[in-house]
Amino acid sequence: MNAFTVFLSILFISSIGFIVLRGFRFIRIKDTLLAIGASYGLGVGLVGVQLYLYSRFNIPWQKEFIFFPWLLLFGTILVKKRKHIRLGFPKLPSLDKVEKLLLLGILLTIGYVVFEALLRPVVAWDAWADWLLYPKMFFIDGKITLDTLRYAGAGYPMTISLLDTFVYILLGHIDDTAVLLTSSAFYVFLAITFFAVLKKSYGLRYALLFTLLLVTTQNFVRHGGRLEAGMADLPVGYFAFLSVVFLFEYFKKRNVKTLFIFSTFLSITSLIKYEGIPLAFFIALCAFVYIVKHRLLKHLLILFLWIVPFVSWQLDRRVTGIENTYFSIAHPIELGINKSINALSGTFKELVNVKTWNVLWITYFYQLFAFGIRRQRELAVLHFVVVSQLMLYLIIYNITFGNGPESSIERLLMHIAPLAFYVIAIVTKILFRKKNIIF
Amino acid sequence: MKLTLKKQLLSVLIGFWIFFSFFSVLYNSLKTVSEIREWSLLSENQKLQKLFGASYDFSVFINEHTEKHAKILFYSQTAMPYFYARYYSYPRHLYWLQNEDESIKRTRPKQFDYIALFNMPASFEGYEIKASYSAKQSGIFGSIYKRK
Repeated sequence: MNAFTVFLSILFISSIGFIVLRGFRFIRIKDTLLAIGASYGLGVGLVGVQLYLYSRFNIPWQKEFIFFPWLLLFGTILVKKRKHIRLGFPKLPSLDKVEKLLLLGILLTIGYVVFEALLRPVVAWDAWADWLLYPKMFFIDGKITLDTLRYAGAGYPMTISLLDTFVYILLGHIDDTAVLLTSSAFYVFLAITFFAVLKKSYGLRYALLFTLLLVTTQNFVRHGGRLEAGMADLPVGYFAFLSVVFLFEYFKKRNVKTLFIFSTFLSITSLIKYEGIPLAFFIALCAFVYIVKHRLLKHLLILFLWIVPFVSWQLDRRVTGIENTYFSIAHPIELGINKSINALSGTFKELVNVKTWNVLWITYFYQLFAFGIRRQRELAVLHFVVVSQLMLYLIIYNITFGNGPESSIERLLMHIAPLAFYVIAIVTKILFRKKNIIF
Repeated sequence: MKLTLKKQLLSVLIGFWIFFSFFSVLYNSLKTVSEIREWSLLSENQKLQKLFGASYDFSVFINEHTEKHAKILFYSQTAMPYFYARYYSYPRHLYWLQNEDESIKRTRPKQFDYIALFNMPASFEGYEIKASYSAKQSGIFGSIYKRK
């Protein structure tokens, strides 16, 4: 029963995102699948902001107060757009045998991930020590208090914790097994977004094939529902991927609405966990270069909107005295040759770890060195973001105490893995466009 | 038209990848059966016991012998029992020390409602023993002291 309520909560959260995306015409009707894929991400951001503001203005976290603004929004958009609403089941494409087999593989794997999420309570250390500790505290306290933030100590951004708090509120109690379905939802919505993007550009079969490759990668399975469920790394990967997808949409359309949604996802990326901050910065830098190069200077204001929630969170922390202890206490600066060797060898071992990643990183680097960026703007952006973030992790391993690839690189690669998948899908299609060898 | 060597190599890589993916679908499907056998018959408490062992048992022990909003000084040499108890026992507030710190005893003698000791002996002035814990299989022991 709890699992079903959490399932309904996820549906509700994505409905909020979907209605905003479609109701305000951020995404066109023909891109419905992309709207569905992005809906959960936007919903997560919006309910996070809602709970944060409620706590700030002393509005109780009660179901009626929580539902009210969203029902109002649903009603308003429904009335306003009533002439355009067409009810009916969308027409599904007919699939041939190969496509059916690929789809079956995807659905079986998703089924397995959801089953695994519900099989046992939260297992991963960081998940219960941090990511699910906050929602437990927030739910029991009924608000975000300074005491609880200081008690927990880490000073992480609160998007994921507020999502889980939201689920607990709708559930009416704490259930740290059922709440893991929110991780499975990130996995499923990432797969939907990835499929939507590839289907639009390269067709159904190709999209199904690469979505199968993505969902069956063991690390995605682990973070979606197995032993790493409840962590915030898969969400960073999902939001970074969404940001890049909407950046590419902006490249095509150059309109303010798309830029605004891009900026929103960028902002959420920076508010998931610390690693999201440089990742958002690298993606924003690409947008900045594009805007300046094409003299769309008025758009800069919209682009910089992503920084506002991030800066306000940083100011909030300064004012309230919640310290960022990452560099000062937990991982002070430390240099050493052994650290460098360990950083490089540990990262390399993980990149060639077939058990965790299949041949994702081997293929990625092979493509990068063998075929370059092939004069494609999209590929240049993707490679820049992936390589910059990876280099940053290597630098952190090199210069900080207590940080090494053995304990974290498996998780950190999750942030850029969806982008690496996207690179491989694009390059492979370019290379085999005329030959129809594999596809 | 012939493929270049580079492209051939890429084809091989992706071919392997597709094979691995289908293998992993099959493997996961079969694993479901063993996972059901291993986990589905266990109660929630048994699952937690299996996953966290003495850390879970000791957290339950803390909850049984302290009030909901108690402030507890938690002694343990390893991090796991403390962090798990901090999660499990909230809204109790736990503060961790890894060894007997005399300065704490001296400067903040009666700041905590309880002192919890996980797998280490100690004595505290101004506190009396409330309950003792011992895990038969692992030999791990613990105790809770209450402020007098």
